[in-house]
Amino acid sequence: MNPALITLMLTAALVVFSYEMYVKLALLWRLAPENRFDQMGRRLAKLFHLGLAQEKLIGRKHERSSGAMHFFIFWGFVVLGLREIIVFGEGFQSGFQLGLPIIGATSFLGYAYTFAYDLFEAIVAAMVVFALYRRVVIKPTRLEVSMEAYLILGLILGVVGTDLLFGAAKENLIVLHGHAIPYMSSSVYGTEMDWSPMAGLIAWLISGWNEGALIFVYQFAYWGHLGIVLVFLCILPASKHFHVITALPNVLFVSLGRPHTPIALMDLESEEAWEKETIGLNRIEQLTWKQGLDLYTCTECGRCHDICPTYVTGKPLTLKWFNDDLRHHLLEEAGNILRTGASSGEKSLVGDVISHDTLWACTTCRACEEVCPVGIEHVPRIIAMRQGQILMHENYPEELNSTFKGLERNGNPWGIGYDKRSDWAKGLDIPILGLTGETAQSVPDNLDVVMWVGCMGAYDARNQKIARATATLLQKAGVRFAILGNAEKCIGDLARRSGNELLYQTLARENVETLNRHKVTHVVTQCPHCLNSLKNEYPQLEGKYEVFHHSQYIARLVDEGRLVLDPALEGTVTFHDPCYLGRYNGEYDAPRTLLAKSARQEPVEMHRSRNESFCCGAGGARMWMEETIGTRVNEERVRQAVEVNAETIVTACPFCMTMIDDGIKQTGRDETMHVRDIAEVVLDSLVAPPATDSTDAH
Amino acid sequence: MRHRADFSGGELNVIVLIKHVIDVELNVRVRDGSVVQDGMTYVLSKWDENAIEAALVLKDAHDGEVTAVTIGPERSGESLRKALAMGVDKGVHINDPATEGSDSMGYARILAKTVTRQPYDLILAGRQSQDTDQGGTGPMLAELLNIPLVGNVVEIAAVDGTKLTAHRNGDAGKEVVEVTLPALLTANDSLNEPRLASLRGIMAAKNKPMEILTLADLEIDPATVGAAGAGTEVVEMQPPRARAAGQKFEGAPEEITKEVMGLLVNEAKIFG
Repeated sequence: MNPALITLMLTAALVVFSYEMYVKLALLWRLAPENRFDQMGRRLAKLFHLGLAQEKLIGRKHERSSGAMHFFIFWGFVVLGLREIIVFGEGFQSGFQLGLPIIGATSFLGYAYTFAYDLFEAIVAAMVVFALYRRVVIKPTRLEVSMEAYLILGLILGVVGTDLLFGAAKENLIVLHGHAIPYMSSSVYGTEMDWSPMAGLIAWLISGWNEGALIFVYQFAYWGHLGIVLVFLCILPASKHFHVITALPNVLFVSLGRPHTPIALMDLESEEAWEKETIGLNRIEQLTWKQGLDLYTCTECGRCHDICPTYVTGKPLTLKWFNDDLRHHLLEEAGNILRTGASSGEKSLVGDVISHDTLWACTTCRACEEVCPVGIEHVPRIIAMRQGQILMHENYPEELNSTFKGLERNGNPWGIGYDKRSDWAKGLDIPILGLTGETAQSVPDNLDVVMWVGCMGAYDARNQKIARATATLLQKAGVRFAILGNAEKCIGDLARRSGNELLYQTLARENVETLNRHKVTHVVTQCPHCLNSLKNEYPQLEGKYEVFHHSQYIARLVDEGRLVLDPALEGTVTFHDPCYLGRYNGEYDAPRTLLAKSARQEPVEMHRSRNESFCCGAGGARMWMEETIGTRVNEERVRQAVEVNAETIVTACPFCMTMIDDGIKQTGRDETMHVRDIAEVVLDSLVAPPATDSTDAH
Repeated sequence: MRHRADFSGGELNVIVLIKHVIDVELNVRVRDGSVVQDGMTYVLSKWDENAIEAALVLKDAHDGEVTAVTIGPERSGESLRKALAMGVDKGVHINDPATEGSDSMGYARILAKTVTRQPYDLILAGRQSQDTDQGGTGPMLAELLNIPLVGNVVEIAAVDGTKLTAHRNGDAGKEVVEVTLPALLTANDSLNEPRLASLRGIMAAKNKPMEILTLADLEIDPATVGAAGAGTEVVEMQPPRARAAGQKFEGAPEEITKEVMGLLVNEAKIFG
């Protein structure tokens, strides 16, 4: 065609693209270090699942059509990547593909590839039309009108459209007008025209055009195609469609914690950290490079905000804008960071860039992370910013003060006397570890498990019933267990999620000390927040135990025939997945198995369930803050249960219990709707305790 | 005995009186006429936290130094350290066995000797301590120092040069009081929301001065304080009576009203 012009265009575009990429990558290089190069085998598996198989896109039932659309566009891009090399090569040497190895004119793969790109160009064009239809006609709530989106879709349509047109004009010029343009041809496989049905279709449509028009189309489509591709290339790094380039690396370097990575233990006495203000996340350059890559990769698809309990109820936190604000701030400060290693500090990260209301709205439910197709880690950033606000800036919702004080003094959020912690167990004859004196129950030898009660189970009237139900079930099954009594303290989850790492570490260290002193190996708890800390976060402090949620432990007892159930729960029932049981610990089935064995009717599922469950509103220490903005999260969850006509909501978390119970009362449904814990419905359905050879005294 | 700091520079030097008390959230048990110490934990008395907070707010606005003073055994140092971690500059701990058994007057005598060792503009205290609920020490100290007292303060409205305006909850409503400094104020818990000791504060507190004094250091005759010098004597301790369980009423509002009114009049005898 015109090698000189192509060289010029290509060079110009590559200079622009390389500069943009250089800035972006140099910026990542300046951010905080983090090792994401470990376990490459598992990383490649992530790349396959999230990247190549597009699991979070087509895997979600509520998003299947748009997911499929994306799947085809993605694979279209993969297939067409090679095509671009051929197209550019064509400019330097007519018939460039013919002589190529593997996909040349003598290889079957050459023809198969021709067929593939021809087909994918048509599919991508169809998908773009569907995408435009979605944006213009369907208007999903998670998308905004954005000129950039239309521009990008237009460019994609341009890329595939011009290439199809180019193929069609070429075919007609060769076949109808005898032009000597080289093309793929073989005695075995036929010609490239035989393998290009879509271009062939267009060729047929324009077969009536005269030679001059065809030559114009041929030239126009070719140069138009090159122009569009190069413009697209230059726009990408500067737009939210940067994800075309960054998404695959982003899923390769995704967090491998299963199912999430625990908050890193902070060295609170590090003088260096105080000096550099790295206690928490206080400045944009303190993001890790992976968190920076997350920002580049967010394409504002809005799945995170559709699923976010705070967005749904009208709070200012919407994660895609959270990403967007951080990205803008990062790029705005790029010059300063690259020059001096630090941002200017003109805008405060929390306050100016991210509002306080936004920061404190998060319930840490992780629904956003569960649905993000590119594995963006939203929650750790929020926790880190909260750490900065609490530990460095001492700027946080005032309501938390009395909660923290209660935790400091008496190891529970209300500050009720620590010596009243085991009052709930009165009359149940539960042995207490470490308790001596005439009133103490003797602790059996060879304990099976220690029951971790948690503050809610120990002090909250409604949840004390659940602690009692759980203990009763363990007793009926002949389990040898004990509690820590007044020596147990708040697990520290609420302190940690609110960013008060100091208080968390104080509480957690004391608990680990107590547990280790009693040589505890197995723990069962009815609180998923306690479960999560004990199981995933206490190991950081040398507290290593096998930890069960009560639903898991009871399900095992039922399995082993140590508890026999006859369904007693009447009416329509549904299960509400606690975030810290499901999304944080991957347990969705144990409580459902128990519920199926305790309910007379088959339980129904709410629209939002399992890994897409809707938070009750209590997590992330939200339980202890006022909810003054928008509507109430717990009322919204109750409304979702009403949608499926549930008469009983069964849950497995004391915080969910309280929030849903309040939600039922706040919406005036306490006559028609009830909330129960899984242990309570199992206890109601318990037939006779089976014979047991346990040495337990009860 | 008026001791004024030089206020010309606008600095306000404040002394806060604090007490380390039994955590009243706990089940306080009494055996043989005294409190069972086993399992007891001690905390900073809650109104004293308000006093500290008020002092720190004043310090932010006017500069100057905040000194916290406490009387008590070794363990009382914990509350002083907490005060330092909250932001108080200096701690004074009067730790002498002879102070044991002091009544309010005894404490006031010790404090009078203590606070006059340095110039001050303002003394803040909780309106009462959480353990004995007497509320006597503050007013008695003001009397001994011959300085004005505003008790049960809910707002410190203005401080200028030599005068301070405070709002206090009185019997008939809120009273606005202007006093000449130095003065003594006792804090109501609605005065403010006390801050928590921050991590930075806890670290900084390690390097703050803490003075430990005996009665001899203060030139106080032990016979005038402690059990020996007390004008009052605790004859007997009794555990608080357990509250009866609440009662839940169900039915139509009119019936419930009638039932509750009946109980209030006949059983609780609130009108009689």
